[in-house]
Amino acid sequence: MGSGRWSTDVYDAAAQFRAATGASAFGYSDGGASSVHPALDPRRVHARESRDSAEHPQSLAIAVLFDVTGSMRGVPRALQAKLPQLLGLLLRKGYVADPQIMFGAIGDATCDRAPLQVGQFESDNRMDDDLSRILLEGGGGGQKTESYELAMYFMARHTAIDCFAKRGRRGYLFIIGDEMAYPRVKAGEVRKVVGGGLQADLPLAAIVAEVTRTWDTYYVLPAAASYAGDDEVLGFWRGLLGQNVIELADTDAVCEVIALTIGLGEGVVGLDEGLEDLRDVGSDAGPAVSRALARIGAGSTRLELAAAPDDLDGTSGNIRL
Amino acid sequence: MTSAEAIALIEAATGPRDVFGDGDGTVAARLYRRLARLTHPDACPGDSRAAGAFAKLAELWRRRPGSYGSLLVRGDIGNLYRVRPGLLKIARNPADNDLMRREALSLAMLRDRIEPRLRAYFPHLVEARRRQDPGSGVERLANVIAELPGFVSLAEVRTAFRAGVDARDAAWMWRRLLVAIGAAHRAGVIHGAVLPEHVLIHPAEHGLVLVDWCYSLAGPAARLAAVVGRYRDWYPPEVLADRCAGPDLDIWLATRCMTELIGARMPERLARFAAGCLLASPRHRPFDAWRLLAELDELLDRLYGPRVFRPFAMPA
Repeated sequence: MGSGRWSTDVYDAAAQFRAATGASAFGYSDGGASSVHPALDPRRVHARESRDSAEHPQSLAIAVLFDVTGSMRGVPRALQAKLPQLLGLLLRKGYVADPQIMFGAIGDATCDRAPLQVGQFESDNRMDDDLSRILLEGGGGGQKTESYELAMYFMARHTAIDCFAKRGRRGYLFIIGDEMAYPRVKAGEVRKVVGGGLQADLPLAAIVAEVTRTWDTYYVLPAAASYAGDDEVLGFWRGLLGQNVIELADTDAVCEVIALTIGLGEGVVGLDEGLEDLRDVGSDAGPAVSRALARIGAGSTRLELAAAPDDLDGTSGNIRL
Repeated sequence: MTSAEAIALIEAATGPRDVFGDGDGTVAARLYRRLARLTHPDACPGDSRAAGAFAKLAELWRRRPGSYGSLLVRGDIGNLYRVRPGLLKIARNPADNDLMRREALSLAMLRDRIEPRLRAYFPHLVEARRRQDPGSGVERLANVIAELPGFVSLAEVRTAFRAGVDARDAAWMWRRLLVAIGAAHRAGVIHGAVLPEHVLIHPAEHGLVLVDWCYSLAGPAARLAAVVGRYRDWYPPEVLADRCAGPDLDIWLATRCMTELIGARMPERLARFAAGCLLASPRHRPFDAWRLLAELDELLDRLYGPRVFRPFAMPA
């Protein structure tokens, strides 16, 4: 998966077609579906793969998973309409040469029909097919918690990404939601939703440590969701992810925020320069983006290009546990 | 900048400095990427001047003075190079980037949480860096650590004293090692690899610095990510089995360091003290380094009387 020619215009045509026929872009969900589309079902997935290819020699894996439970209100629909722009934005800005993007959705494993939905890493409009297949759950529990930990478990143990395996470069994981994770990854839920053999429950901190080894992980809280600005939710995620918590003032700016976060992380753009870029193209996302990213920009580590000497030979004297 | 301007800039350049300036690597790298984008054959299809400029740009980039100094030390996972603000410690294998990130986080926590009078026990992180090899695209994380002139590792001390170190000399090292470990634990950080190469002492000043925080753990549910291969059999068995490591791990490994250092010159009473730190059950082991320090002080007082300063020097 993940190879193909880039284009973002097919989605526009598809959206126009859907608008003309009265179907929303969440075609699968609106068609009366009540269970996870087979293409997005995490069950028995060994690994979602983001691989290098002749076409994309330096692939960079990017995953965007969003909460589709009721507390998110209209945000999932807005995200679905906006997110197809992400690929083009990354390419146009030159932030990433070979992005491979995966979309997915998060529900509540304690009570939902679709606690986790995951697409494939794609570098063309096939990623839009995954978006349109997402089942809008709309349920969720009432405890201000959803199964984000299950999504992180999947990302940590059921993805295989060349950017990390071959180049030591973490992928980018964006979790868009408005609630907290459960305190443990439950072995029973893993068996039911993902399959495979997790023997015992895993504490949340352990799975966060695991996922952040391969994924530079961000939590995005949209202002239009029920728990926007909630101190308990924000504090919870800051405790887990530090500065990588973004309050998204304007849902329409989601692609700009994600793209600029990646640009900052890749060291190919400075915050000021990125914001200027946005103004140049007439984006109204500037203020929202700058508020959310000022902290991340200040805390990011600068990237230097330097030919590695021969003595950096890849050997390691440690044993991984 | 337009493609035409980029091409003109590159064509006029007589050396890397004309394009990338003298500034730091970040600015140069950004310029390089930008110019490459503007002159890339995809951006200027069929333009032979652009193609020439693109090739020349790559050549200029290759000729840019390397920013690695000479190799100083080859550690377990990283190489240390001397650079301007300190020692650049960089992962040899990019799969170990998480360990470098861990070190930077832990050193920042220690700096923020440890009272100033105890900070000398810990290395000073000048800055964290990310380096990418432009050819392969491989990214390695690096930490720039302030150099520690005059310090030697316990491994070097052990090699220099083949019959073992006099316990009265080892006493100050043991005491200081417990001070460092206790301070880190109170700041919420477990070192995770207290091994002879990671304990540096200053012989004349009786100084001690606990280095290499790549294996460290912070937080109650944290798990040990890796162990140092050469010292695999030094770790308590349950740590290798379930990865869970508490403060007792640092005390266990510190004890191993000291028994190794003193070797056959270990007095019987001190050997029993060490054995009491290396019990099979984690629940039976000491976990508070500073309380253990008080016990050690009592024992040293009984063995050797009041403390006096004993000059210590490495053999010439």
